[in-house]
Amino acid sequence: MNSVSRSANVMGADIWDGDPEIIWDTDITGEVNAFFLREARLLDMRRLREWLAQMIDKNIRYVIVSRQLRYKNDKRYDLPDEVFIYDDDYECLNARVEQFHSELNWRVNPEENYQHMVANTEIAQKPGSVNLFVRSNWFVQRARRQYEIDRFVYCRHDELARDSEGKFKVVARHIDYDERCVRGRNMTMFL
Amino acid sequence: MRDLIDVQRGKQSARMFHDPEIYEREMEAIFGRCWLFLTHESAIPNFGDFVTTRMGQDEVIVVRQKDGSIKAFLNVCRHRGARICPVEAGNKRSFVCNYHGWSYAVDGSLSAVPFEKELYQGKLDRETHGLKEVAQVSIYHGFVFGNFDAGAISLEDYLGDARWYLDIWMEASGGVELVGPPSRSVVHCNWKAPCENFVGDAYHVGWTHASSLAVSGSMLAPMSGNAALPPAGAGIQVASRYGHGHGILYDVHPGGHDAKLGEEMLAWQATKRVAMEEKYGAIRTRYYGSHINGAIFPNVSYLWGTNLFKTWQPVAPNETECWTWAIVEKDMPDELKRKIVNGMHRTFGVAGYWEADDNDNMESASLLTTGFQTRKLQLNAQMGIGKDIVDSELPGVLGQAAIGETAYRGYYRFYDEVMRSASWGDMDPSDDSWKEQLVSADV
Repeated sequence: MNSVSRSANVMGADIWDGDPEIIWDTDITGEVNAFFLREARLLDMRRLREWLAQMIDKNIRYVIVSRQLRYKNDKRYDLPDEVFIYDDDYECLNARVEQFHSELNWRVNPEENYQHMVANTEIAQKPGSVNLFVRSNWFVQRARRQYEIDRFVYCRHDELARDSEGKFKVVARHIDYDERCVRGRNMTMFL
Repeated sequence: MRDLIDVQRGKQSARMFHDPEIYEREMEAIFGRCWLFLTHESAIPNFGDFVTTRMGQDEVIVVRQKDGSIKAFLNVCRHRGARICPVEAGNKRSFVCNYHGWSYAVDGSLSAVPFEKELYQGKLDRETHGLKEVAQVSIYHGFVFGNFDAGAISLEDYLGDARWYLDIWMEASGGVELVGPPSRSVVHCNWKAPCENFVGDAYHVGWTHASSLAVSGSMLAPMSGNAALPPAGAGIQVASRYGHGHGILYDVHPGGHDAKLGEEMLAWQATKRVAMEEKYGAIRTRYYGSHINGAIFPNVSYLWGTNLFKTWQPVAPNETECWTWAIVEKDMPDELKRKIVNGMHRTFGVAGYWEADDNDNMESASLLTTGFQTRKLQLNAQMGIGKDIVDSELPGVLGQAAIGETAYRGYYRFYDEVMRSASWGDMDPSDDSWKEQLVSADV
């Protein structure tokens, strides 16, 4: 198991440090899978405004950290090892979405193409909480211009809540990104 | 190398982004002789604390010594050349090579060799097999630099007339710290492409970043899509002796940060300005409240106001690694520091949307030079040429507008000088003719 950072602890992803009881109820797993597949489809089809409005909770904390390489048992050096590639609230995500769709965004004209793929989905709950904690592995490819292929592989920790209509919304997303020096140019797409 | 840079006419050959022999010469003449940023002191406060980084393509370990000084060494075992330290930061009393277990003390000396007596039988000279030490390490306001050349001028002299500008944020502010760890990513460009942009390009902001400006809610937003030029007198550009450069855009300190954070930053600055003005004068206090783009030759870029500090580490002629830290004032409240760090990474980190705007240009300008005909072209940095001046009060050579290419010309003037010099002995620090070279340049 990957070591889990302090930001993950704050965000509830530390549930996966232990061995939580996995929910295998097919109604719930089916619903979560459908939610993830729809999310992948909206992101792939660049329907970012719908993605944000319909799938992301207004109180979202969206975090991607990169971790400085350290020795496993270094007790004498305690400066933070996390750098926040993303630490966004809803407003910040919205600015990114609007920048992406701006007519003045030369970088995504011609359009970039994405494929999001999801696997290894496991669902758990914390005692006393109705929210679902979901761990999943993702593969994203970005194809851009004539030659640029960028690939991103990561484990994603989501916390899903139900809104007043009973539909899932992401309230917390935490990704501990493995590749220390990111070769994929930039991570401006949503993971 | 002779016809690479045309200082007089403000032009550069596109070959400089491509040719492997130019790149090799840069490793020797620039990365082998100039002062290179290693770390900020605050990352290695205690004895045995270390970080690993790069100087050119060489990996180095930077370690705090028992007496508080800092040494740097190649991260290479002196036996068969394997890497000594595979992590980026930590605390060690010794560095042990994974290959055969040779062990080095924090001061670089070879301290233990497994079965030395039995296997080497007195034939191993430990004295000459310590870690290869970087010839000079020096610190300026907490920023630690290294230099492979024992004959290089001092770091203070090297920063030279740029210090007057650096001191505004490094000293007059009450001191800054770099918040790490850095983010790291690969940009498929020549290392100079981003460096020249940060040293002196306010021109691209309104156009390259049009979409980012439009959504930023920042003080620079009116420039989006080139809707407006900064007003006349909105700033200056500065070139200096050893290639460092600055661009100052008056009174818009928070730069790319959103309006809410921008207001907090200006309110914070207001608490310091009266005392600063008494000690450092009105002009430098104004610059403290301005947005400054800057570069320390060869490969440090920073934005005072947008709060980034970057090194562009060469990997190959068309590959560069970008390291990004956040700059914050030491005495800021933690919450303000946190907002600034996040705001900076949001705009100029690995997923920074301003950064992505820029890197697209860096990559195309570099990769297109694989074209045989393309690299016979000259690149143009002539904006404002013929109008540069020397001022009685402000150090360096000045471009008299916020937008121009004065600092590009200064960067490549020194690039040309250092590339054509055999050693530091060929570059007389008392020789002031560089100013005349820039001032008399014209089309």
